[in-house]
Amino acid sequence: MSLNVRIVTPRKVAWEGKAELVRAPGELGEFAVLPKHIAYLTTLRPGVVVVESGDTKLRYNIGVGFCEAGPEHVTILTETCEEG
Amino acid sequence: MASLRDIRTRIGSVKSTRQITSAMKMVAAAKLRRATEAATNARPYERALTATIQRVAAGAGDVSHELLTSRPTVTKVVVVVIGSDRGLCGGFNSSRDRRVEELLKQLKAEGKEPIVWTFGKKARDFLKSRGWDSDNVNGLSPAAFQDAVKALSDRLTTGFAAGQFDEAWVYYNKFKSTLTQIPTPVQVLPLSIESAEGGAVEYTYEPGGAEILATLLPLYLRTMLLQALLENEAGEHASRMTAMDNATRNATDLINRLTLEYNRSRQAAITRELIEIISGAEAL
Repeated sequence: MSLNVRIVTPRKVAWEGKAELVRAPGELGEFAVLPKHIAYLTTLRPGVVVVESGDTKLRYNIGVGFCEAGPEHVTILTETCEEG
Repeated sequence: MASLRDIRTRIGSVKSTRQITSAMKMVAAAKLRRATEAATNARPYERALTATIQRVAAGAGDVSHELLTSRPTVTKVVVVVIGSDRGLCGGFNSSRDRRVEELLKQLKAEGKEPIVWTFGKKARDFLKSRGWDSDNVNGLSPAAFQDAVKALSDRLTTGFAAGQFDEAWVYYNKFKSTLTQIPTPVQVLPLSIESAEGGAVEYTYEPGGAEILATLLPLYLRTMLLQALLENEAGEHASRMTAMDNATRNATDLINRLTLEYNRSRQAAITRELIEIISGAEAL
């Protein structure tokens, strides 16, 4: 079981794919999303998003935005996103 | 019948017009590619944001926010018209402006007071000629869209909160394809959000639902405005490209017709001269 992850900015879809774990900087602190997460909506602070799938770890520097998570998906909407 | 020299000048002038229109077509085509790319790349963000907001609205029945609340009596209505600075792009501006004027008249007939803000010279000039004064922003380049959107949304939200107006609409050309742009009115204030189909999602909010909404709604407004500007930009170039393509083709047709006429009258003149010489020689 894995998560469908999308990181979207107004300019482009920065990343789209499957992952097992997503960590993101929430307004109230960093959090991680695993599959079967409850429906969750939070605002994001500028920081680092980590997407883990298997052995690969992708890191993205994001700007302000928000994150919507559910049992099978994570959508991160942010103003800016740079691979880092 | 026009003299040979007249026809020659005419051909020359049509040729140089054709050169201009075909150059404009090329430029519009190049800009169009960039503009459609920007508009299509921005769409997933808008879609995802809209979907989330709709789910939030469906989940929380008691969603209430200043920007969502419609006023019991509507007296002043802001109409934001998004157009282009330059003409020569077919019916792009005029078809929208005609509809805008209808909307303004209708508002007035309903006893409301329309306030007009325009983007682009063309919209302002047209409305001014019909007696509607407007606050105008000119010479907006795609690079400045982000700032313009921020300024516009700030102005809308503060003006709305301060009670300067009770409703706001945006009129722009939706970019459907290179050949069709549809003049579209969108109500932006108060924001109308349809609840998502397929049931509600009970979200856990962090921080609270109200705080999230306070971030999401202005963001949603900005995204809608940006999308409108981007689509309008793409539409303008598409429309200009089509118009200039037609103009170039018409010029080519005209040149062909004129060349034919030119050759005919030249031949006629030669024949006439020959007849004169021959009959002159016979008379001797």
